Amino acid sequence: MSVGDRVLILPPFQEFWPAVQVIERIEQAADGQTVVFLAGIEGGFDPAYLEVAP
Amino acid sequence: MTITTVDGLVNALGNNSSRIVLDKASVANTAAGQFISLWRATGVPGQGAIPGAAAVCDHTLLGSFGFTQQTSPVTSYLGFFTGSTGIAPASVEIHDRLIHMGGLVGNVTTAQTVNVNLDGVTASNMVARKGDTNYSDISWWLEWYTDTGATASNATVAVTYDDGSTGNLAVIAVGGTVRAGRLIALIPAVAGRFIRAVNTVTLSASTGTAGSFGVTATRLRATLPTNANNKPEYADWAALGLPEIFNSSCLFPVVGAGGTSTGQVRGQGKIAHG
Repeated sequence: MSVGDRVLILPPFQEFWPAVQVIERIEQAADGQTVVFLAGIEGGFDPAYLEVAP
Repeated sequence: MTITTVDGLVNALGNNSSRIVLDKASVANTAAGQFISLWRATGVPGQGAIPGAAAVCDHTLLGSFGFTQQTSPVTSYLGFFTGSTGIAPASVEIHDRLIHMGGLVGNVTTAQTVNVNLDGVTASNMVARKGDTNYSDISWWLEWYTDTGATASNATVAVTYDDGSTGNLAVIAVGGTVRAGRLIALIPAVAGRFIRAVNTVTLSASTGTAGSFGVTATRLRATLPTNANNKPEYADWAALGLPEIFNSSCLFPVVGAGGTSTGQVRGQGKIAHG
C-alpha cells in the first residue's frame, strides 16, 4: 500500500466507512507500528484493516 | 422508602447517618466539558486500584466512600452534600461504581476482551443498585488509568443491548493522548436500547503508547454544580433529589471539568439512615 492507493476498510470498521477510501499519508506511531491515514478520516488504521480496492 | 416525612429525614440526619468526606488532589490535563474520574486521584477517599478482569464493585473497595450498611427495612439516602472544585464552573458528581475492568492498552489493534456483563448479576445487591431492569439508569464509560499515545486512532466497542441484540458503538477518537482520569461515555448506537454488557474494544491503529484503560459502569446518584474556584456550594436533600443509597453501593466522585485541571476537589455530606 502507498499514498494515493484506493482501499476498502475491513470489519469491524467497515460499517462506519463502507465506501472506497484513498490513502492520504502513512506514518509510524511512537511504538513503530505503521498507521495509514485515509482522506477525510481523522483516526488512522492498521494496514491489517485495509485492502486495496479492486 | 422508609423515611416518609421531613421530620423523619431531619431526625435521621441528626441521629442516624454516615458522614462522607471528599478531599482529592487535582487531576491535570483536563479540558472543559470532559468527565474526569477521581477513582485514582489521591486523597480521601483513598486512591482506588486499577482493576484487572471484570469485577463487581462494592462499598468495601478502597476508593469508595464507606458508609454504614443497613438492615431492611431501614434504607439510606443522600441527605445533603457540599463541595468545591479548584477550577470552576464545574460539577462534582457522586456515582455508584457498579462494575469495572482494566488492562486494555492503546497499542494493540486486535479485539481486546472486556467481558463486563451486568446481566444476571445479583452479588453485592446489584439488582437494586442497577435500577431499571432495562439498564437505562446505567452510564457506561471507557476509563483511562494511564495516558495512551498521540497517534490518532478510532475505537469501536462491541456491546450487548438490553434485549440481547449485539452491535458496535459509533467509533470513538482515542488519539491525541487521552489522559489518565478521562471518562468517555459509551452511547448506545440503537435508539431505545440500553447497554447491558460490553464485550470487546478494538482500535483501528496503535496510538503509539500502551497506556492503560478499561470499561466501567456507574449509576449517577447526585450532581453538585460548582460556580467559582474553591467556593463551596451546598445542596440539601431536595436539591439532590433525595437519592437512595443502596447497601453495597461503591460511591465515588466524578468531576465535570471546567478547565485544564480539576483543581483540588473537596466536600462532605451525610447519608441518612431510617
